[in-house]
Amino acid sequence: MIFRNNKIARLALVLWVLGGWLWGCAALPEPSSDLPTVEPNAPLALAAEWADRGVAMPEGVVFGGVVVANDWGGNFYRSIVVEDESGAVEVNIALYALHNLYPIGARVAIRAEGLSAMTYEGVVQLGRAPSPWNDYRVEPIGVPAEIDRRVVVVGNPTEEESVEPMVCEVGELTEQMCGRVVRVEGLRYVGTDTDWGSNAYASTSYRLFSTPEGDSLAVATSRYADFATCPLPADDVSVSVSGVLYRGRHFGADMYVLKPRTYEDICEQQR
Amino acid sequence: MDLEDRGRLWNRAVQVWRCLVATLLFVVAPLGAMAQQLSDKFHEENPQGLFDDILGVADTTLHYRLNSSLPLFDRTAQFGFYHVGYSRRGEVRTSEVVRLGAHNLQSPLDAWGDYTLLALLRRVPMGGGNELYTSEAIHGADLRSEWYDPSPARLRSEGNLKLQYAERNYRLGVHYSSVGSLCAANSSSTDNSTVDKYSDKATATDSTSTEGSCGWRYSFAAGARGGGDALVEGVYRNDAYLWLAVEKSATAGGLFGPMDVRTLMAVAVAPVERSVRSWNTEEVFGLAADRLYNSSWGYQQGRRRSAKIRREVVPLLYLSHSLEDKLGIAGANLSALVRAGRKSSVGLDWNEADSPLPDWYGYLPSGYADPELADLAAEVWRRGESAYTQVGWDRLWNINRRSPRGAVYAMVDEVVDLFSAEINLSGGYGGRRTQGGRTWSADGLFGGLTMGYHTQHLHNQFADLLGGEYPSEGFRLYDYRVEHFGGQLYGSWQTTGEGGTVAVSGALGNHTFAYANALTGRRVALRNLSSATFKAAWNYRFGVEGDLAAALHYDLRSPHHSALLAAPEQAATINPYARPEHNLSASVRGEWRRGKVKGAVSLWGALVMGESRVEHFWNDLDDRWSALMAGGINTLRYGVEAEAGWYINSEWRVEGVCAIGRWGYLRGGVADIVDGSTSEVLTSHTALHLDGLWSSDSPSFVALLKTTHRLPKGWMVALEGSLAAGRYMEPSLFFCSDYLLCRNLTPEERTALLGQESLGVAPNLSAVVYRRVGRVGLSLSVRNLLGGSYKYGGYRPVRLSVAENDYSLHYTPHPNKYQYSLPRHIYLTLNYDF
Repeated sequence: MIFRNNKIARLALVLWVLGGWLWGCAALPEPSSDLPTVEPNAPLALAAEWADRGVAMPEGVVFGGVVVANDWGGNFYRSIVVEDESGAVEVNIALYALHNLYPIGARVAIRAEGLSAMTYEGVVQLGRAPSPWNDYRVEPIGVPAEIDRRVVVVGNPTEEESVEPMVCEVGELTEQMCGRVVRVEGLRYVGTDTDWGSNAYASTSYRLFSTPEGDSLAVATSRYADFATCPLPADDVSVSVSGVLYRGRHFGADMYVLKPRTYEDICEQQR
Repeated sequence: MDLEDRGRLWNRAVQVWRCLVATLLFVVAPLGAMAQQLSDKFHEENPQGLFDDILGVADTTLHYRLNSSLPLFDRTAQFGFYHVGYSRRGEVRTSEVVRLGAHNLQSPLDAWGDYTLLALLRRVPMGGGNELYTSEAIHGADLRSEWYDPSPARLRSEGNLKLQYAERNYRLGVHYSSVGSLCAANSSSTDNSTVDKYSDKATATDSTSTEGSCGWRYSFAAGARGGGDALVEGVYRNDAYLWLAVEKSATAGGLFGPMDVRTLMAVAVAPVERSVRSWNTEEVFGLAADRLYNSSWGYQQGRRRSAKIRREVVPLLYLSHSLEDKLGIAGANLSALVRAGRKSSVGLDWNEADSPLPDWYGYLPSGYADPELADLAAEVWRRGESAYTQVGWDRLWNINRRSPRGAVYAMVDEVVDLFSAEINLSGGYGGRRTQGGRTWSADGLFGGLTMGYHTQHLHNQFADLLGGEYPSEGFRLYDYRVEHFGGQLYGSWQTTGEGGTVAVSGALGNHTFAYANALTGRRVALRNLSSATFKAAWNYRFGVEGDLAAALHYDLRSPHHSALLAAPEQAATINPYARPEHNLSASVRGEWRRGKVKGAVSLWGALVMGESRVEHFWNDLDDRWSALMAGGINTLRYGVEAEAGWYINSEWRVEGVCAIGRWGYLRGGVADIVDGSTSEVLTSHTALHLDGLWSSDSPSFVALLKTTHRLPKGWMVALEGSLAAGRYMEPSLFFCSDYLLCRNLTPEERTALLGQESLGVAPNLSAVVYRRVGRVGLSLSVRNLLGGSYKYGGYRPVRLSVAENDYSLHYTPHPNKYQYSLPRHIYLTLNYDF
């Protein structure tokens, strides 16, 4: 009998049994929660300087910032907004659920080498070079592998670093603030529409609001936003609206535009 | 206990179970080896399966056609598995069943545990070895029916350790069984070398069941196998089985003289875990530069992890008490089967997130309108970045960890907890006849009653949140219960006279269904369903030279109960077109034997009327999950089949079979399409334009030639060649519905929706060389010698691209998905019997 007289066979038997236990009982290792280290080396204001030059960002440029807006709520489509102390950019990315990759409050590093920057409605947008048939906006950064390489999460959202909008009067808004999240209070709706975003002819609806001082401001809502069909406030109700600040020509005049991220950015204040 | 707790508990159970499997795998073999001295072995010289006799089926034609769906007179007093490898052409539905005595277990296609138990008990080679697998290459080419009896009277003491090397991986399997008497005075085990356990000789009466003065015997078998798939990356299986039976045999007086009295109690469990291979489009296979590419796995911290896993643990308890007179004239049997366990299917699910699957159409080059992005996507595949060309587990974990809403990606376990209890009483009276080497009932009357209660609790739960918190919302959860109570009364009569043998059999059944949804509180009232079966067969034997047989089969089936579960979340919708289904099939077969040559020709036809079906799909027209519930579908199948065998001498034989048939839809029927979660009716009574389409992916032409040659000094060689052609992809009911076809379609779009892709011609040539020396067997099997790559199977994803162009909508079906055959590959198997 092989096991009776053979030490090597007995040892092999023991190893076999032990190996089987280890193999069968071993759990899959959990992936490390350590985030990659990518050091930003340029302020976002640099993107504004390069915007609209028609040339790609130079080699080695890495921006850094905090995500202040994403597509959770459906009002932003394939883009996130990142800001730092010097400014803000909207990064166009060809994915549909960016809120999972880049939640609000996450710190990101953007490897901008070779990307283009263009100003659209007052906000610097970052992406691939515009296509010849759509030369007024940058093209989104595409395919998951490239997106993960370009826009890297280097810090998860924390309670301490919550994104608080800057509270402003309409009269205090400046073009340099475009792209940042601001809150304007005391707004009253002016118009006859009944909801925030229904529009059969365009993907984005603009609703006109005014302040008691007589300043006007538009609020932009995508028809795909979760709150697109929510009713607008009555004209005697005052609301505060937070959102990413844009500037464009609407209702026959140049004016600032707020683009709320979710319905929670809109608060009724008083009648 | 919430869903997460349940999931954790289940995971813990799975972990323990895997430990047990590993233990079995690695411990049973040495134990078996040590028990070697205690056992008296019989070593079969023939490797199982090498001499599978294609024509052997011909002998059973009458018997099979008469009894394929009813308990068999010969077998109810015994214990065994009955398995038909594939439906014979002309049978109205697949006949793959695993049967335990008089009780039907589930189809091996659905119940892998049953199949594993069957396969391992009878020691089917582990996906290779010394068996030729033409059926692997051709749907519908496997004509075998098999019977195996692992009762104490038949099982033999043996152990087997198998190591198998294939070109990409290895497998390891262990089988150990023991038989003995419980009487101390007769402790030696018994081997029954006279029983051919692989043949259809169920009535062989040469069992040694009376061994031991007390009449008590036991049988025990345990085994396990595990390992990665030989050729497809990311696929593995991890199976084990345990079998224990105790039998008491005695002789008692009876009406017809001395009676054999057998009481058997058996418990068995076959836990199975296996990961599943994906189906992919031509584009994906091209990108991966691998026709065996499998997208359902990825690396987690450098270790492979599958995203599609099936698990099954359904233990069974079987009790049987039978009486049979010594001459086999009369007998009766009372048996009960109880099963309880869990089947689960674990897969990746996601909520408000981009698809985690690397082959999602939106990530492929064709999914990008921008050529630059398409090039980038192709480049990722060219570089073989496994984080993006397989499931990127590490990435999913990181996304979950930072998600403020809890996990957005999760492994979700779709669970079926089942309980089933069945009792059967049967008895019969009849003579027996031995002819052509087999014994069967010649004249007699047989009948019985089966009553059963079955319940299924279907729910899903989180198996792994992949590092995320418990999600606050979003994942689609369900929890419902289905109860089924029913009975079947059956009987058969058979007589043999000058004009041949005539047999008729029939069954009447009644079933009630009840449904309760734990999430919505809804209950669906009991629903009565009836079924009836009638079969008639005639067989005339021209001495020993030939047979002429004819069979007629009518089957009235209740609507399949999946129709009842058309909208499981709501349970509000029952397929309105589900009606009893009528199946009528007929066949005529002639067979002759002259000298060393044997041949047979069969003509067959089958008509199915009023079939009901349910198709679940993502409805791109309405952007929501939908269920299409259809009824009134008619199909007609017919064909001719020829078989021949030349038995050159006792060592050398050549066999062949050729079959030509047509499977076609006669009438498409009508359907309702409802929202999958709210049961809102999107359209009703929409016509289905299936008429004229092929109704099965079974080949319409099959040719098979096989030769086996036994050489001196223990060598054996076998060669098998086959050709399958005329295989078409099953159509999508939704694509054939007026709901879609009545839109403003171009002729090209209409053709794309209604067209059926041919899966092409599939030639195959395989060879095996086998040698046995003492306890060691070595075999080299080379499959697909021609090296051809052809589509093994395929299906149409029920998805559409809807694009607006030139102010009108255009509808393009998503590309078909396939699995390709394995290329030329080898299996080198080393067997050691102990």
